[in-house]
Amino acid sequence: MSKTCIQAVGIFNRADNSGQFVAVQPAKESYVPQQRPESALKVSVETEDGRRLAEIPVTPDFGSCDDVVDEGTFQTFFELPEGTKVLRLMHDGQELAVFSTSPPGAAAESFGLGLRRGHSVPLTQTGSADPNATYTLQAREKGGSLWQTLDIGLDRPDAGQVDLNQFPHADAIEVRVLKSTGFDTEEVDRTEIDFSE
Amino acid sequence: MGVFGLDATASRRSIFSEASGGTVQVAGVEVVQAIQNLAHDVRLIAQKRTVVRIYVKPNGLSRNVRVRAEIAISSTRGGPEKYIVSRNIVSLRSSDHPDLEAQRRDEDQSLNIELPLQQVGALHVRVKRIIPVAMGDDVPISNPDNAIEVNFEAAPPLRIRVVGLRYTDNRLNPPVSFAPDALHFDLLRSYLTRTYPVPELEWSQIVVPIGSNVEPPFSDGTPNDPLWQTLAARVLLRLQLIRQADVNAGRDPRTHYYGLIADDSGFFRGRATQVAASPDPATVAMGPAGRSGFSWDDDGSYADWYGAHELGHTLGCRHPGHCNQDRDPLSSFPYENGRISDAAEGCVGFDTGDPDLGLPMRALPHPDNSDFMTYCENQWVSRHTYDEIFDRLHLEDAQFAPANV
Ligand SMILES: [Zn+2]
Repeated sequence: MSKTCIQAVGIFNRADNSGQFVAVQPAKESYVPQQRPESALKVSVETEDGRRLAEIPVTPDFGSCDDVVDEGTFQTFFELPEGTKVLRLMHDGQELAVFSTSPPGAAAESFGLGLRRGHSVPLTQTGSADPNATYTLQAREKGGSLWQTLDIGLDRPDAGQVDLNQFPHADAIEVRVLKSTGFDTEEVDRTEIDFSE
Repeated sequence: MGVFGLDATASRRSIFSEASGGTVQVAGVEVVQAIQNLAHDVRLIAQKRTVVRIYVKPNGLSRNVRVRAEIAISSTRGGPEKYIVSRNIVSLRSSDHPDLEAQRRDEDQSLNIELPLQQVGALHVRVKRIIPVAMGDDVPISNPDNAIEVNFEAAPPLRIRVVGLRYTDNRLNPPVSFAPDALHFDLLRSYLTRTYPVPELEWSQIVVPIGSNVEPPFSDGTPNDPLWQTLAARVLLRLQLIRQADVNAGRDPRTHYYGLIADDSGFFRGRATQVAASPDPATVAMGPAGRSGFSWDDDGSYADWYGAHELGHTLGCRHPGHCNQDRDPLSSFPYENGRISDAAEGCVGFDTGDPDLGLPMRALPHPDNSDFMTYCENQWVSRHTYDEIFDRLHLEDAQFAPANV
């Protein structure tokens, strides 16, 4: 079984040592560093009952072009130990924020296409969205190899719009929606928009 | 037929040959891509747009003569030669012809020849002929043995995806959405191609929503600007998430992401998440796009040099500390006042231009031009930054190569 690696991103403010997770999603393994510099900011990786499986030092980024930035960002990549359920953002032993994943909820996420408005096609969906998940909208030229992310962090599978102008040479495009619970991502539905019709 | 042709040439010579009189010395040959000196201390990149600049010194001309140059190039000394003629015309002056350095400072005073894209390896360049544009004999070259040898080396491309971030200004009635114009993408792409030490860009672009939690105003006008800090952090995190979702779907993990934000609703000050101290293509950056108010920036967009600066941070480049900028304590930038070179090194910048965008070739002397990592005007790339980016892209290319390719 291949290891799961994740990307966790968030905010850390060094003026008041506050912080939060903004998103967690699966990531390719190649980004996991071999060594990490020590840092007061850490992600504690834990089981459901609070047993610590790993502790990841996280170096926050305070920007490149200004000396007065207090509100920084962080991005960290790490391998997910078996049994992980909770990520805790810690600073000097103080808990700043918690991210916990829940099993995917019951949902009916197949989507349809709404009426085109200008160069934009909205998605439609009649079923329920999963309250434990966020959704990512991707599209590609039909037959192309690379999916392009059009929107991310959506609370419903039909919250995004497909901007046809991003595919100026296509005769048809494929559209898909991914659902992420943080540690897992799966495709929930896929459709096509054919410009020749 | 052959005899007739010879006769015609002979009669033409007899009529016009007295006009030139003197000779011309090849005073220097400079093979340049973005910045160079006469010793060719700046590396040349294979498959990158290249111009040969020829500097001459006329002797004993009885009048001014307008000429082109023809060079012979070959990959081995004595090997098969290809002949190429300069695209511009220079007037050889019978007196007070500009000296070598004056010619280097002015694109119109050098004879400029664009080379075909070069392979990795040596290139021999020899000025073969100085040809009057009016009828008449070639002006004899007093140092026909003027060949120089330069070397072209391989460099990885810059892999970059530029994400236009569309926002809605809800202060307008009705609300209006803004995304960067095509011009800003095009000029950024061109500028990076011209100033970065790369054969080409692996470029892609897209426009996506900026996210529901970012809307104008983009600044609260205070020095610390907490509003800008918050919005910038949101934009950068969104770029990191989009980037990872794309990489998960197969995009090359060496791809740098740069967010572009139209300035219709105000200037969204740019930044990278950090100065990437070690190779890290997951470091993202963003910056504004609009028409420049600076007179030196007359191409219709400041998104180009602004983007080169922010992307420079993602490649480890630091602030040299000039023109209202604090010097990064770790900066090793060597030139005074943030210039692109100095007198000792003697580099002159050269913009090879972009015919597709109507941008001409331009010489950029070091006393008048500053590195794009400074906040000074008249920006171009210094030799220091050029080398720094070259080294970093090599490291990223090897360290982050996709495992399954
Ligand atoms: Zn900067």
